[in-house]
Amino acid sequence: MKSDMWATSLPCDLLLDIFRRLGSTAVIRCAGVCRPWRRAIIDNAARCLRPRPDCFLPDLLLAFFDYYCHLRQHTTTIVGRRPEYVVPSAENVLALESVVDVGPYDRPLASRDGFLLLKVWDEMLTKSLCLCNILAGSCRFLSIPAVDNSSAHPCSYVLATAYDDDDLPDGSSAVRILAARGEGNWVTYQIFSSTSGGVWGPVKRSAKLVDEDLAKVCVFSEPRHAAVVCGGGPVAYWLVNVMSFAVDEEEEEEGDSHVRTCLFAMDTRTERTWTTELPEEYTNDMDSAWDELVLATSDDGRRLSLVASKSQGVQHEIEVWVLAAAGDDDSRRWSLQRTIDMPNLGTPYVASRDQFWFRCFCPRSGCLLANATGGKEFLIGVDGSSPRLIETATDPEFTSMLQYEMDWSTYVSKMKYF
Amino acid sequence: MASEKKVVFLRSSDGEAFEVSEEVISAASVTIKGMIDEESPSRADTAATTTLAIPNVTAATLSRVLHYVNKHFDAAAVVGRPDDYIFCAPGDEHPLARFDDDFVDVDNDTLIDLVHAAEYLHIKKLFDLTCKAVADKLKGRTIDQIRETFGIVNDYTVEEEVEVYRENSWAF
Repeated sequence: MKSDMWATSLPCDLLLDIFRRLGSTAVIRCAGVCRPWRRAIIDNAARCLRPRPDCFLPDLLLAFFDYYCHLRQHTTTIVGRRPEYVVPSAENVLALESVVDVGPYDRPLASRDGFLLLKVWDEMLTKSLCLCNILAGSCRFLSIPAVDNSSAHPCSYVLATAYDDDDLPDGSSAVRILAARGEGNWVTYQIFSSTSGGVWGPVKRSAKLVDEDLAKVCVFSEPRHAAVVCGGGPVAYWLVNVMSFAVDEEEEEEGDSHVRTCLFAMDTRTERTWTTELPEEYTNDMDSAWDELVLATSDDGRRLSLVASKSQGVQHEIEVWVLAAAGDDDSRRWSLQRTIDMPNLGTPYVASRDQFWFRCFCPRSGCLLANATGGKEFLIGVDGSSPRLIETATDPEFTSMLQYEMDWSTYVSKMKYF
Repeated sequence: MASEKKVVFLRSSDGEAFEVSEEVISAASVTIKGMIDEESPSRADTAATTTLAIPNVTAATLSRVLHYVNKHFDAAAVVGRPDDYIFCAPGDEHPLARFDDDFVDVDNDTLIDLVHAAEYLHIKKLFDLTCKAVADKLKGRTIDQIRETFGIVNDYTVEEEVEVYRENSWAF
């Protein structure tokens, strides 16, 4: 019998020649088949996933998070297709093994570990949420939480999966969804847990974010400022603006307002909430010491990073700050981890006159995706790697992008070796 | 003089000899072309035909490979570009698509023998075709189905198995 030759006697190069012809999903599955295959794949992550000069594999990204509308081409009915979505070339679309009709879906709210949370509406314009695992071909519809009832106070959603939470059963598709928005001096939130009844919990209110009575909390809800989840808690962090009004006692009128940016954190299991100050130079929104702030996590997903882009004249800098420990007190324990001087990267990265801005952070690969003038896109490894230009697979004009699984070779090479 | 068609004999690992046109096999197999080129100086004066030993390929596989090579060469000759062995532009309907599909519609062991032979003989088109055929058998299958299809024994411990499923839960 030659039956075991498939596992033991195929030379590594030959295996790679075969794996190279597979999509990411199939490669990940093959890594689970047997040890020799697994070793071949992990050791050659960059080669066994489809060859690209920079190992950047945007297929999942496109299918999941950004160009999810393109999945409509797999469906028979195209509902409400917006003209701005470009139909991608075939090789950029994830080879779906099961088709999910995402035609009527509105926009992605959050994504993590293969899950995608979308807001959808039906023909009656009734809105609901859809928790979708495109690779598994499953969709689950949820009601819109009561906390997300106001367009004036946008709601920010966060997903935590079994990867983040040791309490959730291994290998399960259990998820928690946190919905949060600012309201007065508080953050109000609701938690959905697929393991406890599968319904939204009650609307709750955090402790006051500032002592002043008159204050307005605003949770950053744009995709590029998306909240992040740090493992170990898991703790969800949001960037929030707190606008407080100095009350003029004599006139009893609202005086000057003051806007401060800080972090709002929640332990997703205990629902304990707290705020953490940012490094001093970033707390004041009015100073414009920074152009943009985004949250990121360390390679292992345990530590929180704050990434700030600053530009003064032709100087562009990116600063990466790290919160010393996933602490819960108010003290500032930020340390500046590194500074990246963008113009000095030289061509082909960024010319001195280029503008650049962040697009999103990918928790799995620990990379930030940024854009520069002219549609150039590059990846910045938050933990240390130099920024590198990537093959642009997206429409540079299309800017609504979420966190996603960005860099498959990084992911695969981090899988456990046994 | 090109009037006389040269032939070579290929001797399989189990000793069976196969006749094939030198022109055809040289165009197809980089490895055999190299062997023939090495032999050339010595056979220029003799009329004896060359026999090349192909120690890595069995008769059953070699016969399949030659069938493939001849078929593709003939098809290329029809369009008058015999040298252009890989004559099909990307996107074109491959004139031999059906032949190729049937060719790799074989059991797994035969298929992997063909992969090995194509690699050893350096027949790029056949190597691509057979690798793709193996890849197609992997696509869309779960881990268990892949093991079953290829008769691979699960060599993970229970703990490792749990880890595999945990890290890949999204992929199932």
